[in-house]
Amino acid sequence: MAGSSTLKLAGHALCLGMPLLAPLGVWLDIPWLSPLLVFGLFPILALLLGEDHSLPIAGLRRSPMLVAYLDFLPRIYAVVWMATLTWAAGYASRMNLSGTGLAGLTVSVGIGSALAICTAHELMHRRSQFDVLLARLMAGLCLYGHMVVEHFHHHATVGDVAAGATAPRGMSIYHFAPTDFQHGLRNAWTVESARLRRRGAGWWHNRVLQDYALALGLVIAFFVNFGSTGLILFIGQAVFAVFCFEVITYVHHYGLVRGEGEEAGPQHAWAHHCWLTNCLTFNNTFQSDHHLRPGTPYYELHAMYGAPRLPASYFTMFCVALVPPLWRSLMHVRLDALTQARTNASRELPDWLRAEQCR
Amino acid sequence: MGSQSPEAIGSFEDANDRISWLSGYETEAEVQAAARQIVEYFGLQSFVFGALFRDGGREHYRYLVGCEPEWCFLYNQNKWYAIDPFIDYALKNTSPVLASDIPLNTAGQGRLMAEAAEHGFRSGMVVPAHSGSVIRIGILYLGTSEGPERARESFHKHRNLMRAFALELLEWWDAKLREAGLEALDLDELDVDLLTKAQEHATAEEAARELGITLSRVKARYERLTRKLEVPNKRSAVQKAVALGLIRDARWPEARP
Amino acid sequence: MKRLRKRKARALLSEFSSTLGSEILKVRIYRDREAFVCERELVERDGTSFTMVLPLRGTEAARTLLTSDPYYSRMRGEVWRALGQLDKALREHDGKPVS
Repeated sequence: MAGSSTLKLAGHALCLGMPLLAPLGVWLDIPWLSPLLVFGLFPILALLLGEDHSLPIAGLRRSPMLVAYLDFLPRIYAVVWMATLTWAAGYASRMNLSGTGLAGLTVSVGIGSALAICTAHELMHRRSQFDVLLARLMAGLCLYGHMVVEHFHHHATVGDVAAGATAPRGMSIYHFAPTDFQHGLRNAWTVESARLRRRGAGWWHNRVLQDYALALGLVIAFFVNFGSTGLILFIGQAVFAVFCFEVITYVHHYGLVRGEGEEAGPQHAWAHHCWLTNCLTFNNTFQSDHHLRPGTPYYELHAMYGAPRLPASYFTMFCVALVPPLWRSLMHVRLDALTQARTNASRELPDWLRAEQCR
Repeated sequence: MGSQSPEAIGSFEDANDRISWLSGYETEAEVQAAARQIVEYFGLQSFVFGALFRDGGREHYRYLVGCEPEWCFLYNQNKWYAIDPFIDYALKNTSPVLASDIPLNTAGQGRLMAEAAEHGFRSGMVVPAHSGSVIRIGILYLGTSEGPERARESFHKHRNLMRAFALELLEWWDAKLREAGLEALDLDELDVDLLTKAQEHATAEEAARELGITLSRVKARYERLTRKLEVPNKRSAVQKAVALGLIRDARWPEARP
Repeated sequence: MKRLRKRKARALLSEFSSTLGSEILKVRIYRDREAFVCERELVERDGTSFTMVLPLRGTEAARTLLTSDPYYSRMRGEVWRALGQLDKALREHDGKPVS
């Protein structure tokens, strides 16, 4: 199953169910349904479904219908998510939720928002102005106004600890997340200011400012429409989503620092080609290929030779990262093995450390 | 837009619409078919749209032919481009003009006009079109096999539409040539982005951060660009790219940065 | 960043050239989406070029055009080969949808 490319393409549609877990949880009176599934069931499912051995379908582009489906899927996700977010704020406000009920709904929506950031990541790399603007709107809804500008900066500086996004060995997620957020904001501001200065353009063209202004507008809109309860949910889901994004960034690049003069390559991103994760995140685990070919659509990405392997799926490693001693015990063994491999003449990774290439 | 059938044009609004649809057509065939309808609306029969652009010291003339091809063969064979008074006019002016209002100074020019009259251009007008680049201009020749009164009447009635027509043709042509230029040189949109960044005097590091690619890739691409464009450096690559219409002239920046 | 290169919509059906003293004449016939176009480019010794672009409605129109070219006698063989290729492409185009 995990080798079937057709099944994989169909599997991408599973992501549309993720934002809907929040209203489903409300309907079933299980407000924590979404986190229970994602962090409880999905790691087991991921193990059972196995790794993603699918390859991009050759000649895919000869089928306009299929390409349209794949291209539209992220946009449909955006619509479904935005509708769910709006519904959740309205529901929380109407029912005057508080305490664990509000927290459960917020986290459930936040999981959909975390995947929305993933979706925005796919959209922002497209040439279509509409898709880029949609990505910026989604980032604004997650109160992550510098995301788009900073992400391009990240591509240029992957593996550079000073640029952020790559946590040096030993840094915990709790130190990394706020540090990386600040780094990102500073980088985005610097890049954007330089760009506008060169063009002689006014400050109002600053996309970081624009996107944060949009975020502020959305905060006000949610407050006006859904009161303080709705606002708490809106801000809460954004904080949760951004934190998830930081955790995944941490997991992607932990300890994989580029040496002096070293070219960015597959060895600068951890990989675990989990079928389920790939379906839900638009092939986000194919990080190495994405870094080498940032403009390639998600359905044409594949596993890269030379990418070091994570011990488990993103769902599991997310939880592990939240427990720094456990994280270090799992990852430092791998980092040591990588360092050892680099000193070998062949520079080959040992089998257990090699992310499996698609067959 | 490309699927609009070229029905006869019955009104000013129709003609205006048809002219504005030109930019949506994908092929020369569609543009030519639409142009024929527009020219017919003007009460004329023949047209040639010429785009002239310069690439360093060389000149290139590209003509979309809407008249008897024999006329164009004759024009080329006699090298009349070298003495064409309308090209001279178009290089220095922007207003449409009746062909009869342009003085003929040489016997060769007289012969040119005599032959033109035999091939559908007994009378007519010339409409210059200037784009955002000084390196590229358009010349729309419109003609009729009827006498000068016909041309005069059409000119006074449709002068503004003729100007819009010529400008839309030039813009369409520009876009088409850009596409062809990119294809011929095997360049992609990343190359265009990099040329634009170089035009803005962005450093390689700035280009990398703004485009989301590594510095080494930026440098490799610039090297490849200079090779493909057969120029010694980035600055010359930008100049050549502007000349070929691959990127806009920086003197006329885009509306939004 | 550009996605995969757009599929080329313009396909070259035939191309031939002839050296005429200090000039070079190049003739190309393209299939451009659902239409056919003939380009006749004359390149002078100094690099100046003149290109006529004529959409073609059929083999007959192409035949009239190419045989009325003043240099037809020097390119007779190539002209008829090109017309054959155009005729074949037109029949294929009429026979089934353009992919």
